Amino acid sequence: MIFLPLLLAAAPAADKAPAPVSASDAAAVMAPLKAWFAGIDATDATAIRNQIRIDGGGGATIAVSRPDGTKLVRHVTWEDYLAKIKPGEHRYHEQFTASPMIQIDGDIAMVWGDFTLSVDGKVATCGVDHFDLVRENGAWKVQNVTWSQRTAGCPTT
Amino acid sequence: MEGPECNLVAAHGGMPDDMMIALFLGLAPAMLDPGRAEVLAVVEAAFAGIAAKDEAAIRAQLRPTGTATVIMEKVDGSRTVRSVDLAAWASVNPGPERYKEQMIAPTVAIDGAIATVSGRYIFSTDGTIRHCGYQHFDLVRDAGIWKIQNVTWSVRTFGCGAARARRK
Repeated sequence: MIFLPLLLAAAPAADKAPAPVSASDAAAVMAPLKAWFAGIDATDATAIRNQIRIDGGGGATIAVSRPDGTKLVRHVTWEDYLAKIKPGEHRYHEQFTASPMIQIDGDIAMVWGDFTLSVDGKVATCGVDHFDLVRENGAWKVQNVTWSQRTAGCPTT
Repeated sequence: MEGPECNLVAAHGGMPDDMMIALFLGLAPAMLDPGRAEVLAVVEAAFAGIAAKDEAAIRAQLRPTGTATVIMEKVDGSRTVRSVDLAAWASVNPGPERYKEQMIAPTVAIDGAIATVSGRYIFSTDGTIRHCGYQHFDLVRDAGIWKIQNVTWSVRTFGCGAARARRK
């Protein structure tokens, strides 16, 4: 995974222009997401749970665009999301397909990037992942995730 | 300002709504496109609700499920993180103070029915900056209407002086 951080807002003055995110800061923010994607690949709900601020009341919000043009937005709790992560007959793989935009300010970070989700080696859906992270007790964790999801116009690999 | 976008804005005459939003949020009007303006309008409407102390107006911009997460940054370097239901973000003090919240040159990104608005903000009471920080809105469009799904922000009562000096 390649990190191309775009913005950082770590300086305390309110109206200073954001400075670039350092490679080490970007890597720290991306570490739980890398572990999350590894958890998807391994269908390991515990590995994903460990990246979530599980007591933060957050969850996952999905904006689905179907091929027939209909759209659907749904929100699920973390427990409902994690309950669907379990070993089965299919192999999953999720990845960012381009360097995500990263912003960090103190203990808040956001990551926004194009992704693909493959099933059994074939891209099934794509969209943008939007992670909302906070750092607590020195560890970055995901407070919320929102993603767009479509099956049309996705990269083939 | 140069370019066709500026001419389009000027051709409307007066001050178009999207330009007013841009000025309030500290954006260059020519950088706005309709989708971006729609997303920013939701945040601007929430801030207008804060200024008016109108909880219903704020709630109208929020989805029913979501979280508001605040990181309090103290001068001694200690920090606390607290999350509450998003609805709590709409609570306002009914007192006589006049509130104003504004973002400074926020970043906006949109993909289909999801969007983010993020960047520095300042919060003023009776014209005096009380705190500042970084704010991150997570928005989704459902049934054609953009609303805030989650918000995360930091609160600093120090280091806001540069913004205060500029606005005197």
